[in-house]
Amino acid sequence: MSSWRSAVAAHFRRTEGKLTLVVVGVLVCAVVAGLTGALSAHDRADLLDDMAYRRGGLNTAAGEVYRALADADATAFSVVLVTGERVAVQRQAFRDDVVAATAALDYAAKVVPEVTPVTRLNQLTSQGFRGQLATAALTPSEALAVLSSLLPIYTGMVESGWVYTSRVDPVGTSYLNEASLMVRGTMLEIAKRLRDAEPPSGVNDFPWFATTVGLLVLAVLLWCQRFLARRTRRRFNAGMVAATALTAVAFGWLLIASTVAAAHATASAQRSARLLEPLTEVRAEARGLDGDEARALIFPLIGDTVTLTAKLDAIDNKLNQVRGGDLDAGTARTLEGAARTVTDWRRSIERDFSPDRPGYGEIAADITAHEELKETLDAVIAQAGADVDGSILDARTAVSGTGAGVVVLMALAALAGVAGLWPRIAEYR
Amino acid sequence: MTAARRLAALLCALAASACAVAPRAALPRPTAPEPQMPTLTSAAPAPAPEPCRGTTKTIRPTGTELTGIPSGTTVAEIRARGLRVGVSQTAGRLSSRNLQTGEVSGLEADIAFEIARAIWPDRDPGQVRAQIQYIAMPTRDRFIALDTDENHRAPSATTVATVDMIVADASVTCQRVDTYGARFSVPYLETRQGLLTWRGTDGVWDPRQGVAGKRVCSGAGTINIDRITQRGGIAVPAVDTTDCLVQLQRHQVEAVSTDDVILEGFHDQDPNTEIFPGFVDDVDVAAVAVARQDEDLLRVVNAVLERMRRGEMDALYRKWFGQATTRRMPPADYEGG
Repeated sequence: MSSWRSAVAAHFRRTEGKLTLVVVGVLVCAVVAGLTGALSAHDRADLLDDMAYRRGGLNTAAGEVYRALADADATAFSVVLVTGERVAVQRQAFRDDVVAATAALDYAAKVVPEVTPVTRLNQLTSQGFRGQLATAALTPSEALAVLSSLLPIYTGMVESGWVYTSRVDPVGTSYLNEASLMVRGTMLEIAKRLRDAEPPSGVNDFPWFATTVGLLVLAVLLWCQRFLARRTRRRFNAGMVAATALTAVAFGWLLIASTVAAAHATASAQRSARLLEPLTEVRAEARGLDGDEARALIFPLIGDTVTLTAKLDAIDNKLNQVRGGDLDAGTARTLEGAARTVTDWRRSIERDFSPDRPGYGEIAADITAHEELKETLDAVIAQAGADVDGSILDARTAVSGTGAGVVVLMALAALAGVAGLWPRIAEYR
Repeated sequence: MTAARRLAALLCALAASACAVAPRAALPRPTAPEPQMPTLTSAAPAPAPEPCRGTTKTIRPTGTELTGIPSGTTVAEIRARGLRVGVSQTAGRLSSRNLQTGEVSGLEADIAFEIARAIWPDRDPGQVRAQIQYIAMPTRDRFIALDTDENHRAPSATTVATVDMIVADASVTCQRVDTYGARFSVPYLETRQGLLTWRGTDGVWDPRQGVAGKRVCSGAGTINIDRITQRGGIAVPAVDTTDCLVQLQRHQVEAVSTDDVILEGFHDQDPNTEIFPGFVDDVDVAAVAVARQDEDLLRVVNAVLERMRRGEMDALYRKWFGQATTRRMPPADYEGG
């Protein structure tokens, strides 16, 4: 036993044995580096997939639910102010929005497969909890389940409201008011908070672990070459130089890809926070104000002018905040047009709700006609949404193939190292 | 570090998946959520101290016939800018708005028109109609819309006092005089609080036997809601009384209790309901309410109502409550008898 041990020890004391150890070292380094690089790239790709598909899907759906419900709320009121065929047209527009919201909820459910238990759902939608529902911390699956169960109730109330109002039954106004309260006070708030544009943690991080491993592997390879140069009296070993170069390329690639991906992901999140989210809110609040104006006409309350003006001020402020940011020329021009529309709107509110206001029919026509802000913003919102999605896809493209590339490069590095060392070992046989 | 964690997680997941199979999530069958009534955030003012400090008596008009243009500061102001009338707008036979035309119709709208005609005797009736601006008064908030010192002291800052008079089935109570600084006119309607529930209650309870333990809805800040509590019912206050009909139809309350005229309006809208009169023995009278200081306006209103007592009001009752109605305009209670 001891003779076997001493034989092995003697072998590794000889240069031939030490070179064999170097080969093993190079192989271990290549495996560790390949695995680390591949996992790091895979990790980031996973986070970006989550951002692009899960969160991206959920955010897109949430944005659509938010838009559709805000439009539905405005239409629910304006239906009672129009006459003739426009009644049918507006009612159909409302139903289209409800179906759009349902489709968006269905779409979101595809990326959030968790099922909310029935007891939890009943607790969330119970009468006692309703006051807190809009501000409660809900998981995406809970938010989707709550929205799905409130939507048919909301729709039923609006349709009941229409039937009663068309028969000039005053309870119709109560139905429409309560429906609006439900969609504004609860459903729109939940849909707004369902959006989560924050990039998942880690997606913007510098790949410290992989970089450290890469540098260590390079150091080991360089040390091997120094050892080789001393023992074999040859300045360079072509195989080892190639292995070192391939490792440097692999980790350089990983580093660049990760940095580019992080930059794209950050750009996407920033674009979402600076443009997409505030404009989506401005649009919904504008639709809310459309509904408020209709309500103020059909159910005039004390202090209406103050309420309407305050809401327009909020829209104006939010829009100006977006306009103050860094915008491209096209967007800036479009938003300038939106700001002009807000100014016109202020004038029409002042006229329509002043003591010497025009007749009911004229105000009704005015309220149901102006939707310029919606149309102006729709174009910018669509573009911003496409840009946000585009940046995430760019980020994902940057890291795609990186994992496999690192593995292949490290395999080549291992081959090169072995190929370079093998003739040196053979010389001692 | 994430790569290392990931490797560990991968191994754990592999180990776990080898021995455990998660069951499929159960299919949920949730109950239908109930709609929510407008919340009662801006609480109604505290009840006025007993006994009554103000007066529920009204002022005798200077004449029962309107011959010339009425005088007085408030009336002159109204003639210059138009008449703002607070109406319920959701009480079927009293005042309801056709949302497509904006026209308000009902007994109270007709009374408001007669008052406007007296304010503008020099104008064509067609023009007079355009001078009236109706403001919707959710039941609870009716009286805070009057331009009185009491209302200006009230904490609700968003409320702007804007109406000249309230014609919204407002029962004459001393509390309203003391709390809101209101002054009432000659009463134009006698009402009695009744109970409305489904036509046929499955024999589970007989509404004639009382409302003990039952959820009964009524307008917030009304005398009706106190009477429900006094009779052992669970009072459910609504900002606007018509929200109570929604509550009943949505099976959120078991009955609605308010003035019989309003219940008749509810029954018109939902024939699946039945009115049970005689919930209380008390008789309430509804009158036009104005701000305490607007005595000149109150005299005009009383002159109009006294004129209408001679036949016009009966015709209006028949128009809005049916030919068989037995309603009679209640007597006036004037200061100094």
